[in-house]
Amino acid sequence: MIHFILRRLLFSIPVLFGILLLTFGLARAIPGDPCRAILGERATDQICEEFERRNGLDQPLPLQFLVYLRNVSQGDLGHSFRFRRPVSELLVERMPTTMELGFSAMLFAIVVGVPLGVLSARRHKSALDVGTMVGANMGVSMPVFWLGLMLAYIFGVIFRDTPLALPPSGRLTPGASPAPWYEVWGLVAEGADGNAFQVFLSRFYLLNAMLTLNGELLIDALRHLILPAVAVGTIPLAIIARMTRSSLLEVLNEDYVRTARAKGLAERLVVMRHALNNALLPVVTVIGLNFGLVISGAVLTETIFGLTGVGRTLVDSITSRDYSLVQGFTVIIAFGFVMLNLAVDILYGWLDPRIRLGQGG
Amino acid sequence: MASGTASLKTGASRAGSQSLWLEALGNLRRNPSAIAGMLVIGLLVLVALAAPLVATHDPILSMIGQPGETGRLQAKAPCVPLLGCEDAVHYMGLDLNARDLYSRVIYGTRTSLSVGMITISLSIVTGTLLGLIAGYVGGRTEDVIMRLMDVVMAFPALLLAITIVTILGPGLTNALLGITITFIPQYARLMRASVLSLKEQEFVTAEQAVGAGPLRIIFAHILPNAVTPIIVQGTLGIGTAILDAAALSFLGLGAQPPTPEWGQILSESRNYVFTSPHLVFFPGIAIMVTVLGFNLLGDGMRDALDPRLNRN
Repeated sequence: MIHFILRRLLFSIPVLFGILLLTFGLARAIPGDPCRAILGERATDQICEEFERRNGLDQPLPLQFLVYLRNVSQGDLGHSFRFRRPVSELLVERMPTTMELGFSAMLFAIVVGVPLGVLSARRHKSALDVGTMVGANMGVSMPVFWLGLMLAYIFGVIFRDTPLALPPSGRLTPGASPAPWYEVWGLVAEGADGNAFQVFLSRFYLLNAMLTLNGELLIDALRHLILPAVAVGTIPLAIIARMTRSSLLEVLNEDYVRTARAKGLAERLVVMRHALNNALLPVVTVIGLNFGLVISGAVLTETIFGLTGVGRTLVDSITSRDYSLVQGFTVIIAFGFVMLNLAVDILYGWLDPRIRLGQGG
Repeated sequence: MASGTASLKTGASRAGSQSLWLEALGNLRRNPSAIAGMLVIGLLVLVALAAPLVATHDPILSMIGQPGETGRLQAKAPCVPLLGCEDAVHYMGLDLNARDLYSRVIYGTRTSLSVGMITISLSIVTGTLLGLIAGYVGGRTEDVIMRLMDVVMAFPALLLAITIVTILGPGLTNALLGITITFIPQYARLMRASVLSLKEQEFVTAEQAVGAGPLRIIFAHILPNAVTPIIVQGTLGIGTAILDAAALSFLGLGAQPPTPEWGQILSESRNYVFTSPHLVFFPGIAIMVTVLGFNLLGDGMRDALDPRLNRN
């Protein structure tokens, strides 16, 4: 198993290097000179020369790339001119919003998608099966931003003043300011800032509410999370339900399942104890592939639901041409994406010995 | 003598492949999902071709001062005939610039269908060529091509498309190019895998033995045998491409106003979803129906064209 993990890690190194090279290349390919983009009318030839010298832009490109590599490896992703702050600081601040949204969306997709797929397969060709598959087909065909807007309208306007009403924007009710866990725990003096890791954790509002045992805050954060998570999770949900169904249908035809049935095992046990284990293997891969969809979904839905996450910041930075922020965020998202897929690969190898042994690991 | 055998063989394989295609077509005609998909797409193509006849107004013309226009943006949801209100003039109501929404949605069919088809055609051609070269030539060339594909695939598709469009500048053509690039790797991988398995087969070795050149082997023998999965993947990809293009337009990076494009219409009216939800409702439904059509056809084609599934 260790061999298998090392091999997979080794394979991802060229891809990670490629990501850095591509993002570096893309950032350099952006037309217009960064000095004039940043300083606007204040940019004179003399100031720009000084700017280029100070930022190393007068050096040859390969050297610039090496400097960039060194900076990234030290966690320095550059400086955002729009926010006048280091990009890494903005990441620590905004990444949790997106991660919380992404994980809740994925959780929603798995928790609803897998049982739906199992039910469909067990009642193959029933009304429930047909209904689920029609729903799943519609689910994969919906634009996520449209679904987000419609959910905001339905639960924010139509169901207003009913128990079903849900807040269509923000992460907490306006005015609510949760005390960070590290302050409640007495790790820092009141009003003082925590370190980057402490701040990072405290920005996961659900986690922070749990760590500070604040039930009211937890419910408020949950209520705000439902609509965006459902919007982002619907497409993965549909894909997972379809995959679970077809994979389980295939497994249910296998000889060992027939044997299990022949020895008189109840159908529920046949499915749960024998078939599902193997049927879920391809579903794991699909879940891994869907992280890309979740990231794209987050980019689109954060704008709709007024969430200051990585996606929305990225889109805003593109319009204001904040290149170092775009470059930094893109690299980190792509890195995260590769790592998630790596984790799924490893999980898959762990679940299915044929994979890790088949590769000579 | 040798050439006689070769032509006999080619003739036989041609007849074989023709009957395979006929069989696939037969399977397709019996597949409810494929039929539903074809009906939806057929209808949409008709609407796109006959847009000037189907639309009731000019999609770009503002209706200020015309019948049905009140002169200001209504505070409450305006009268929309398709949602149960009597106004025969504007089926889906007017948009923020007092343009007929129905006509804009109808003309949007043209944009979305062409974006979907062009993107996928371009990425299929490029991806197939890269996959053919990588699979047939092998060695260092294959390594370079496939590692590049890995890197492109390491980015979430929409994110990469956004970055590319940022560099090239917003607009429909650049959005199309951005999406094309994100789609290339899947076709390249698929084609390479097919080539790798096909080039070891006996009919290819036989062709090599009778002295056929690499170009002839690639285009006359390997490509026709490897094209089925590409077609299936391509049909399923059109839906995704349409969704991506709509997303880019929604972010203001794709089609620019006043072009009637569904994502762009949604982008213009998203801030009014609470007061005029119909502005958001109809273009979204249009996107969903179109994507659904291609997904249904793609699913049907996969079932009909994949002999492995048929056996099951």
